[in-house]
Parts: sequence; structure tokens; C-alpha cells
Amino acid sequence: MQARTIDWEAIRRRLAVASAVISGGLDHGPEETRRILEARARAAARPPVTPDDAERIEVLAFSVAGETYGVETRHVREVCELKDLTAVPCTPPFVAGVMNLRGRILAIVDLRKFFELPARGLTELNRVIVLRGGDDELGLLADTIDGVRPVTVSDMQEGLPTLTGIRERFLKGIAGRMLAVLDGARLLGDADLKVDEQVTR
Amino acid sequence: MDKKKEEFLARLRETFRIEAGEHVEAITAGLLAIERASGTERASIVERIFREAHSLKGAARSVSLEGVEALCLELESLFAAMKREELAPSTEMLDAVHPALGVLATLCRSPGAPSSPGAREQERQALAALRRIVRAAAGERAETPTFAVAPQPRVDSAQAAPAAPDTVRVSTQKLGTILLEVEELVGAKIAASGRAAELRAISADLSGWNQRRVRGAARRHRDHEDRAAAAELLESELSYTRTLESSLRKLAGSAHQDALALSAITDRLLESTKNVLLLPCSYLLGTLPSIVRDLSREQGKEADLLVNGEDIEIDRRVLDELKDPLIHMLRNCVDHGIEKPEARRELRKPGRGSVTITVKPIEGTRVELTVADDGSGIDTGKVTKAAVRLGLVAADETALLHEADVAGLVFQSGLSTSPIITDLSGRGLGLAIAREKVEKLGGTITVASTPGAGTTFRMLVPVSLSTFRGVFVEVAGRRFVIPTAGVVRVGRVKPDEVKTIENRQTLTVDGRAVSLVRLRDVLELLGPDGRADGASRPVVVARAADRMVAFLVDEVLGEREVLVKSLGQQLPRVRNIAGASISGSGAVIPILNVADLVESARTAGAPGPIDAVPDAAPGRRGRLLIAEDSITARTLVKSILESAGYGVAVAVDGMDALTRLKTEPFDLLVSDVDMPRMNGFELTAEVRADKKLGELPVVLVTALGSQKDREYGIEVGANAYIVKSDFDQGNLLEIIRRLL
Repeated sequence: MQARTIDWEAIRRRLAVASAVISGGLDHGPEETRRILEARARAAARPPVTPDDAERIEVLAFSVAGETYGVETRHVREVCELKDLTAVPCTPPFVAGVMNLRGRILAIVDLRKFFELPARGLTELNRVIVLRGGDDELGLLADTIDGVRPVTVSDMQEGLPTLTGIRERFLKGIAGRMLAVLDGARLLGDADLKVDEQVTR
Repeated sequence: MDKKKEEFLARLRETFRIEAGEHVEAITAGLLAIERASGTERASIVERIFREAHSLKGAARSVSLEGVEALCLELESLFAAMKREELAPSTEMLDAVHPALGVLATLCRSPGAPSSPGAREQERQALAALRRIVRAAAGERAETPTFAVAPQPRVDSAQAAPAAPDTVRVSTQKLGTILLEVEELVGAKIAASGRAAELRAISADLSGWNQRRVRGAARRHRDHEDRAAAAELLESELSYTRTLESSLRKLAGSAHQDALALSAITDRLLESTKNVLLLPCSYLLGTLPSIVRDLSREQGKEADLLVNGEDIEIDRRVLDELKDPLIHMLRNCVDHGIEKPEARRELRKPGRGSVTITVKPIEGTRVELTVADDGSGIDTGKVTKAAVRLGLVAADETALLHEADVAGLVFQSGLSTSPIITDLSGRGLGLAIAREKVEKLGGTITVASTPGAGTTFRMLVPVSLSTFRGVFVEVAGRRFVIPTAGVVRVGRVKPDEVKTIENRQTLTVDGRAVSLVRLRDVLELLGPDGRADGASRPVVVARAADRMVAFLVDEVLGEREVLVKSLGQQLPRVRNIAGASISGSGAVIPILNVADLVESARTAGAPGPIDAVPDAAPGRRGRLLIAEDSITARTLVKSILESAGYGVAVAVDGMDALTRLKTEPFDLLVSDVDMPRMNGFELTAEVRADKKLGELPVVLVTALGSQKDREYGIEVGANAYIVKSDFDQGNLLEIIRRLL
């Protein structure tokens, strides 16, 4: 073991530098002080940047006939109970009908029918997830709402071959334990989900 | 900061666009008028258009639109030269000015938008053309530079002083928004009167019950005079319910008053808001003279458009819809009516033809628009031939046609007497479109013609889009609204009134054979058909264009005002459905599209005899009650059972189901377990405990799949237990079949 000797010279040198800085710091005018403080404030105010944050999305999970789906919360306007549903004649099966949402008419879509999933059992489908983007608005039928979950985009898997029902273009990816994250913007904008038919003359 | 400035400039330019449109239109109209005007009239017109050009120039400068400003400067010089009578408004000169005005109009329509090289070239040419005219005029007077004719600002600003500030310029978009909101109030009005009616019904119910009790009490009194105590108790209870009855009656009365007041206010507010949106017809008619001018030029004809009654005010939305019909009619007048100048002179008519549009108010709520030309009239021979060619008229029937019938044929789609088809006309669609548009507004269009003297089209249209009324009908257990405007009549039809012609069922309406179809077939509905009891059935006769079709419905519920809503962005166009209305209780009721229905009726399968009891007659296999709180599950089970031929009623929970079971006869109950108020287990127990219902078969359909739940279900007395996750329609039907 070597006895640690104190290098007094070095300490003195450091103290001298410090004292010079302090006396110099006190000397610089109010302009300079403000500049330094502003720079520090700006540095402190910057949100911490971690690579994860940019890739994280918030997903509302819901279940339809035992399957779990998700849709980004930024497309979800509200979730409400399906109290009244009026079937509209001459529409494809995936249009469950329309409901009165505070005076507006909202089209309700049955995803099982749209994705042509096999009808399995009888479920409540008592919930409506109202998606909205621009002028487009539509309601998705759901059995239960399973809450909001953060999903890291890079962790999502591409569609699995078993999920044949969901047309690929509506699937953003599979997150966690079989949460099929749907593309909300696509659901809202896709022409296949709209009904635009004339009587043939 | 810059962005704000830009936004501000954009707003200024929008205001400019509206103002400029008016100026350009006034100048165009003035120039057209000059051609026909006498000396003194001419001077005042020149004065007016000179001012318009000047104001437009100033407005353009304030929003930095140099192109517009430059064109206006030249126009101003040109009009100034005309004022000094150095320049005569010759046809050649006007022909050169009109295209320049067109360029100016285009520039003003999208102020500040970047222009294409082609547009810039047009702008340059227009400017050069105007300059040439001005310079030529100046040349005639030798030396005066064009600048000398610029107006004295002082005089001008005095004359261009703003009008008395009793008017405000508000964008039609804002007004439109207000109108929409006021229209929403109609919904509240309908709801309020619905509530008042409900209250009245409850009050009447209670008072009826009280009366029955009084009678019952009197009877009992006679029978058992000794039971005074019981009577006394009844008496005190009666006085209590009487108090209740009277306050309920008062409440119903005031609710009724409130509804009336709200209704009156809403109607007045809607009326005044619509009034605000009325515009003078000149808004529409102002652009037409130049269209007639261009059309006749193209064909080597000469024609003027005269307009009478352009001050009459009409709803902007009506005016917008009238634009196409008017243009089609004008085109028709110029194409087929007005003859070439030589031909006209031979007929001793003035070489210039004239087309007159007259607007006249009729009985306050409607206006009559006539478009009359002094041309050759409708060539009935040609029209009849074209109609025979199209198969509209049988060749051997043409002799039987009246003059008026022939004239009416011109509105038939596809009918054209034109030997050539151009990109704009000759297809025979114009007048058909005109009629469709006018009828959509709830108006009518007719035509009259005198050979050699001219043709007159007459349109009767509402001043403003009237409140929408609809006939409420029930079909296959669902309610629909048929727009009253498309309904010819509502009635009942007996089986012996139906004749079969060419494998189609027909009915005679006003002497015409009208085909009869089931509305449920046209709407592709399943579910129960209406009471086919061999007696008469309700029928709604609807008309679109010139075709009538009679639709069999299950019930006609009445006719009333409805608020029309669109089905939203997701359902922009649904076959046979025009929109939806929201009832007083908040339920959505689809509004049918009459034009589509009439068209669909052609292809709908030929219906069987209307009095035959079809295979799937409701209740053929028994009457079932479904108790289920989920609307989707309820709807699904209902449609499965209905298509299997059962009569089906629904209840929203156990309590509701029990009430229905006690008041109506049912053969079987299908019930969910998990329901509010009274669950399926409790309901089953209640049924089993009831003396009358005790034996009713009960099928429980539930999400609860555990053995314990199943045992409990059997214990309370259910006959069958189906777990929702294993639900299968074949299974359900099989179980029901066994239990019945």
C-alpha cells in the first residue's frame, strides 16, 4: 500500500482558477448574466430525448367476438353505448345500421362482417367506438373496451398468416399478445367501407 | 407576423372577389344593354359602367391586383371616350370588349391565385385589345393622351359614397350556418309536441282508470253496504289519485302550450332566416344575357335576352338549382326556336330574335318563371317521329296525340330532334334534366308552343325550400318516411282491384295503369309481411319524373313535418335511401328516395298475388317473445326467428318481458340472462310462479357458460340453456321446434 500524498500544488492551482472564474463571473455585466441564464434555462427546459418516445403510440384495445383489436387513440373521438340502432336497407352486411349521436347520424360498422370473419357465437356488441378524422366519422361495434395501452411501434409484428380475415391494408401490426392494431386513418378513409351506390338505370 | 398579414390579405381578397363579381356583372350587363339602347339611355348606361370600372379599379388597387387594375384602367379610358362620344358602341368594338371582360371576370374570380402562362397570355391580349380601341378613339381626336380622361377623384368619391348603412354585407356561408341551426330547432319543436302528446295520453289514461274505479267502487258499495270501512279507504285513495290526475292534466296542458309557443317561434324564426337568404333573381339572371349572346353567335343567329322581374326575391338554394334548367331552356330556344336572320326576315319577323324571361310571384309562396322565344315553335312532326323512334309512342297512336301531349314529349330523356350531336347538345337530355331539377324543388314545368310564333316554357317553383314533409309508413316491422312531395296519393287496395298485365300486377290510378309492387321487395327487406288477411291493404302511390308506381306497405302511420339529415360521410349514397330523420323520441327513421324507388320497382321481382297468404306469414309457426338488452343480439335473434316463420316480439329486459307476457299471448320465451332490472333467472322464476304462464317454454341464451349457471338455469325452470359462445342458429331453431 502506498501512502497517498496530497498534491497541495495542484489544489492551489485549481483554487486559483476557481477564484478567477468567480471574480470574473461576478464581473460580467447583466447582459452576459442574462445570456448565460437564458442558455441554461433553455437547456433545462428541453424535454429529455430518448429514442423510444418517438415510436410509441397509444392504442385503445377492444374485443369483438373474442378477438382483441386496437386502434390508435388519436383517431378515437369517444366511446359510447349502443342504445338504438336503425338498420338501413340496401346496404352491405357490414353496415350494422345508423345511430343518433347527439343529433348527428353515425354509421355503425360491424368489423366481423367487414373482415368476413366466421360468425362465432352470439355476442353483445353493445359498445360503439366513434372514430373521427376530418369530416369522416364512423362507429365500430365492440363487445368490450379493454382500455388504453402504450405500444412501441418497432416492437409490432407484421400480420400473421393466421389472421387471414383482416385485410392486410387495415392492419398496422400485431402488438403484444395478439393485439391486432388497426389503421384508424385507413378505416376512416377507405372507399370499401363507404357505401356509394346508385340504382342501375 | 407575415402569416397574419397573408391571412388578412386573403380575407380582403375574398371580400374583393364578391365585390368584383358584382362590378364585372354590372359592366357586362351594361354593355349588352348599350347595343339596344337609345341615345339618352345610352349616356346613362355609359355613365354607370364607367363608375363600375372605376370602383373596380380602386378595389383592385387596395388588394394589390395589378392585372385587374390595368384592365380596369383601359376600360375606364374606353368608357370615358364613349362618354365624350368619341367612340361609338359598334358591334365590332363590343365583340372585342366582351372577351376582355371575360378575362377580367376570370381574374376576379380567383384573386391572387398564381396564373398559368396561358392565362397570362390571355391577360396580355385582352389588355392589348382594349388599348387598341382606346388608342384608335384617341387617334380620331388626334392628340389627347388617354390619361386625360381619368376621372376627377373628388367628384367620383362624392358619388361613390357608401349607401346609407341600413344594410350589412354578411357572407352567405355564415347565413347558411344560421339557417342550418334554425332548422335543427325544428327537431326540438317536433320533440316538444311529441312529449306533450305523451303527457296528454298518460293523463287521459289515469283519468280513465279513476273513472273505472269510481264505477267499480259504486258497484261494490251496493253489494256490500256493510263494508263501509273499505269504501272509505277507497274514497281517500281516490281523492289522492284525483289530485294527481288534476296536476297531471295541468302539466300536460302547459306542456302543450309550451310546445305550441316553441312551434310558433321556431316557424317564425325559420321563416325570417329564410327571408334573409332570399336573393333577387338578378343574381341568377344577370349572367344569362351573355350566354344567349354567345350561343346565338355560335350558330350564326342573332338574339337578345330580355328579363322582367329580376328584382323578385327567391331562396338562393332555389336559384342555384334553377340555373341549369334555365340554361337548358335558353339553349333549346336558341337551338330549336330562333331562326337564322334571313329566314326570320322572310317570315317578316325582325332579324334579331328575342328570348324573354319573366319572373312573377304567384300567391306569395311560389314564383312563375317563363322563358319565351319568338322563334318557330315546336315542330310536332319531328318530335313525334323522334318519340316513335325511342319507343315512347306507338307508331299507330301518333294520330291520337294532342298538341299538348306532343309538347310534353320534349321533356323525355333521350328525345332529340337534333340531326347532330355536339358536345353540348343534341343528346336530348337537357330538358329532361331541367324537369328533374324543377320537380326536385317541388315545382312543375310545362311547355306551350304556337307554330311559327314561338315556344314558352313555364316553371312554377317555390320561393324558398319549404319545410320537408313525409308520409310515415311501416314495412316489415320497420318505419320509413316517404317524401310527401313524391307521393301522389295514399289509399287502400282490395285484391279484386289488382289486375295482372304482362305478368305484372297493376292498379288503376286516375285512369292509368300503375304497376303495384311490395315496398319490402324493393327495399330488399326480410321479416314479416303485413297482415295478408284477404281484405284491403294500404298502398302509397309515388311519382318520379312522369312514372307512377304503387307501393304496398303494411301500414300508413300519418303525414307530418320531418327534419332531414344526411346519412353522413360514410354512407354518401345508398340505393333507395335519401337520408334520415330523427323522431321526437330520438329514433332514426330512414327517408326513402322516390326517384330510386320508382326505378328499382322496375327490376324488383314480380310480386305474388297481394291477398295470398305467403309461406312466411307471421305467426304461422307460433308467436315468440325475445328478452334481450343488447340491441345487436336482439336484432340478430329476431331476424333468425322471423325468417324461420315465427311471429316475434321483443322486450328490452326481464321486467319489460314479464309485462308483455302478462298482456299478450306467446308460445315461447327466448331470454338473455344478464339484463338490467330483472335478469333471465328471475324472469324464468316469475313465469313458473305465474298461474297462467306456468307452462310457457323458456329458452335461456346466455354468456354464462359454467356448469353451476347451467344447473341454476334448469333449477329455476328453464327448458333449454344455450351458451352464447356456442350460439348457432340451427341449434336455436332445432331447440324451439322441439319445445313447441
